Amino acid sequence: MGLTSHSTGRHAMDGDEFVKKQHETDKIIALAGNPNVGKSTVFNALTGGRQHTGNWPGKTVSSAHGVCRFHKTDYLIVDLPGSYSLDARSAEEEITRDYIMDAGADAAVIVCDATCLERNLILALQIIRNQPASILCVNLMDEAKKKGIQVNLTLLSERLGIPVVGTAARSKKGLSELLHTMEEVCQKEASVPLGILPKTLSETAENSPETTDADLAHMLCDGVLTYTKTDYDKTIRQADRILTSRFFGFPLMFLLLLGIFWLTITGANVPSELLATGLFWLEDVLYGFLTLLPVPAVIAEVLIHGVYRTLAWVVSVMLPPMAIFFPLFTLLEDSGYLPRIAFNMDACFKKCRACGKQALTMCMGFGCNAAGVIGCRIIDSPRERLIAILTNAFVPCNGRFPTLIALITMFFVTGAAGFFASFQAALLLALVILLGILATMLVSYLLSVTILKGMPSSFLLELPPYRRPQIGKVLVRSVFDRTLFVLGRAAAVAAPAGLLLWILANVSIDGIPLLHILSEFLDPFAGLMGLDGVILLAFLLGFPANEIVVPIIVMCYMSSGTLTEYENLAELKLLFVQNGWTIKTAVCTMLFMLFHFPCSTTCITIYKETKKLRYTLLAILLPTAVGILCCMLVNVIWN
Amino acid sequence: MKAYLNNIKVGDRGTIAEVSADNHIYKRLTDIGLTKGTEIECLQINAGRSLAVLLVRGARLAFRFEDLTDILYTPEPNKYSMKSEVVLLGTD
Repeated sequence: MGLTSHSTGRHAMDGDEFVKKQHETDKIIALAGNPNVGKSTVFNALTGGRQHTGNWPGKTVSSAHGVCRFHKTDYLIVDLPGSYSLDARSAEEEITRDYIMDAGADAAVIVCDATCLERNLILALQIIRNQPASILCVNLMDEAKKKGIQVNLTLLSERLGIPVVGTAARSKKGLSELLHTMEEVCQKEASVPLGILPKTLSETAENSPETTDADLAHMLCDGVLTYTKTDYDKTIRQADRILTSRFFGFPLMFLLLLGIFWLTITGANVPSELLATGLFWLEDVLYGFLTLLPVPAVIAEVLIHGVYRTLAWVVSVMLPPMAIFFPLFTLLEDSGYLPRIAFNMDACFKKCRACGKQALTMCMGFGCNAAGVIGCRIIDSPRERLIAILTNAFVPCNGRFPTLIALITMFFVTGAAGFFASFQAALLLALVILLGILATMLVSYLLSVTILKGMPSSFLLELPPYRRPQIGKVLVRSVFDRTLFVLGRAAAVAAPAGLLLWILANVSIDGIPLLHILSEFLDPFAGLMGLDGVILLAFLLGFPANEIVVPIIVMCYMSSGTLTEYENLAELKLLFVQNGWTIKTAVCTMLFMLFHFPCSTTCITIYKETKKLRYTLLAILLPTAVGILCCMLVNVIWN
Repeated sequence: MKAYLNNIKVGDRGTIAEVSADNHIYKRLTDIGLTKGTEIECLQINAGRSLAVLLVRGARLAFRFEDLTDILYTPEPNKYSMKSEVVLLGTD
């Protein structure tokens, strides 16, 4: 169900190691199949895992493993990335090939899409030849039923010579049958060789060597599949006619972006205020409590005015937009619309000599830049993959949105909070994002003509059928998941940052707090960019997590200012203005928030993906250079 | 009467007649089932005309036009061309 806390941030890279058995009796089961058939859904259902799922091909780009305990045996299930053939063409297809060919698994569960069975069987045939202990899992039976497609599983099983199980993994149907079949197949492995293609099929293949797997698949499905509705994909056709139309495609995408932002901003208003009021009230309570205890006043100061306050800031202002945007993004993923975005934007990316799939990785970057970088594995050509990796940070991630929203709301939106104000904010945010997308394309083009020269390579994108997301389930789980993730990160990053800030503000050299020394040191350079030393310092300290940048700015101003508390963004604006902020400062800060070095997790991920320090450094340098340049330009022109 | 796949238009249907082995994604095409005898339909072409969506064995796949060169297909005559034939006969 979308990007989970287990598939973003530090965990984006989990799962590239080969799985090992803990006991002799453990069985390793490989889940293989075409992209986007539901392997990860089956995996989650069997193992209780939290694999990133969604309705577009290419989400699983590394293998993941989990354990499923059934009748006293541990089944180690490996969720492999989808592939069209064992003849690997990209990094993720190689992972699948290695697992199947190197016989690391005791059995293979080949997951197929019941609505697209014939094509799926091409890979299935390849796998069965290499891994006799295979089970065909025909998933998405519920979708097939809706479309009036009937699958004769028994006949298929006879023809293939392996067990065939029908499932609807999303609703957890058919899974117990799958488990029983897995058990049977694993127990039989010593004796009867299963799945050697039945004589009739093998004979056909031998008689005419030109018979491809595609032809065999066609023969297999003849009689097995019955279409009771001739226009079973009418809805998809109609939807695509509009959504991928040459005229309506782009405007609709922009409107969608606008809509999501508006929902995020509006939805976050009330929870933000509630949280702010509540947490700051709690701050006074805690402070009062701590002063009563026989602890030095310093401890109370550090804990409450340093650590707790930063934490409270992150939770009240940063958490609500993040907790809302993510579920919306997940719904979009689950619906199957994302590949259509890539389809629409392909010509633009092609002009920049990049791959259209970069649109997909860019979208992933909206959720989390680190996950977006990993997602670049779906791009076959190494050159284009590198371009996508290096430019991923040009679009703001989930951690940067709240800052942009807060700054827009403070400085650019007129009128009190209401529909019009939210709409204005959403529109401005959408424009900022467009700027990021534009920069992505420009920089991709620049890279293509300078250091990463080359021409666009071949490209294959599958447009999956639209599927109705399980809205209620997704919303609840995603909100919960994202809240926990942000809270966890707040504790791990914001709290120590708060501590550090307090130390900097209260430890002095020659009577001047360290904080002042640092920010004054940065002032000249920052001034060239239309910023001040504090803002630049905040960006530097915000390297581990973008969402703490504004809290750091606030804390710095408050430690040397007269305002001791604030209740809403309007008062915050006052604080900023008192410290020399003008609209120009807001614009420059937003520009730099959009274009600056990626967060530490993303940098580490880039290094692990590219395995070269120079590309990592380039990935850090590129957005920062663009950011500095843009800010300086604005600074000069504005005066 | 055959045509090359990279000249296909939205709404055209046909059967693949021949996939040249010189096509640089020949192997990939076989993997996804775009082989001789396969029925295809062109569903969409994107803005900028860089991709065409073909319905192949139940799956919607977007291809670059450059990758569809050297593929011959037999177009299915659509109702409009039938109509124009009738009109031609009628004007004798």
